[in-house]
Amino acid sequence: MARRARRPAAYRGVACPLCKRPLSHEELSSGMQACPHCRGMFEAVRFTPAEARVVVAEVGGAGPDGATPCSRHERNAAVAACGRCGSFMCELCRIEADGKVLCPPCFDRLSAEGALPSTTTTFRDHGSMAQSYAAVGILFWILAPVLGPAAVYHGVKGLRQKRRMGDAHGVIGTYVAIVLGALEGAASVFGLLAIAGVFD
Amino acid sequence: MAAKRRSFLGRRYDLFDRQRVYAMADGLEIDNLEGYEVTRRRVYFDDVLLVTYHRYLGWVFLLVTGLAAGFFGLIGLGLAVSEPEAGAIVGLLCGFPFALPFVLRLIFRVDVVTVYGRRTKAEMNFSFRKGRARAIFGWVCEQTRLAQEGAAGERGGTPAGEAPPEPPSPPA
Repeated sequence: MARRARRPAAYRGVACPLCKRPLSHEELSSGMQACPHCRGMFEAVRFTPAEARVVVAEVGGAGPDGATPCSRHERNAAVAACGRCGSFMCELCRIEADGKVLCPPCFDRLSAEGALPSTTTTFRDHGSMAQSYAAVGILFWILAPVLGPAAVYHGVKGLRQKRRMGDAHGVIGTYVAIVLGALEGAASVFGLLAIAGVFD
Repeated sequence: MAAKRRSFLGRRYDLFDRQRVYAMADGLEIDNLEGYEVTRRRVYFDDVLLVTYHRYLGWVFLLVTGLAAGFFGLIGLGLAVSEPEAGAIVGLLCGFPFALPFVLRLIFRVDVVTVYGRRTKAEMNFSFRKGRARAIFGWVCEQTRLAQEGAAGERGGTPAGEAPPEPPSPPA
């Protein structure tokens, strides 16, 4: 059964950072602001981002030399070729992700396969799991024969995950968890064998 | 190891979730942690509407730590009548871990930097490093200004085949 990720609370736009009630972006300005709801003061810097405009060239207006039509929109002129399948695509279809230029089907395929790190939005934090298993294995050593190897397994997965995502945060903690997991796993197995009298 | 794609900026830990904010080349990346599940969102500098800075006390935090410190302090005082040493130990060992954060919060408060985008927001709390909070606030505003001035009316992007640029170094 597929795991369903819990949705974060809906974002309602600009709000007072103190009472979290919505504010009108147009009525705000840069400088010290007073919230009309809670009267709390906060410092603000207001920006007005420009609306992105996508200019789509039509094949009909391309002139006698003609323009290659987009493979999905016949009236639009192609501006690029997909880096994966080579199909021609117009400005509407062109998607740039992780240094690649892709058409929508290839983008969907690579996203689903997990080949585009920037599109991964929900995943399991294996590094934190490794650290938790290592810590619990120290506290409850009787469980260490299981938790120790689990800490090593998730630690290695976590390091690979961080390497793939270009994330350096928490790498040292993951290495520590791997070492602790290996030590407590080996020590607990050795201890259990000693209790069982294997070494007598 | 792959080139560093992002650098850590700050975090916000709540009762129900934890949030870590990272700086990327073209925006901020927010990792929402619920248990071991991470949900990742982004606020691009092109989309930033508002950046705010404020300082708060946190009455719930003060109430909880103050009540706990007071509770164990009273138990310690009660024990001190008959057994002074036991009372002192209970009062110090059990009450001190709550009294210390209570006092520190009263003195330092919490500085918060919030970045509002079109579709999401990033929030970072700074309990002690006020200078870093102010530096990050200024850095985010500057990066937003540069990105929005450069992208006015156009859509930028990394040409195919080229590696994405290293994220700009945030303040140390």
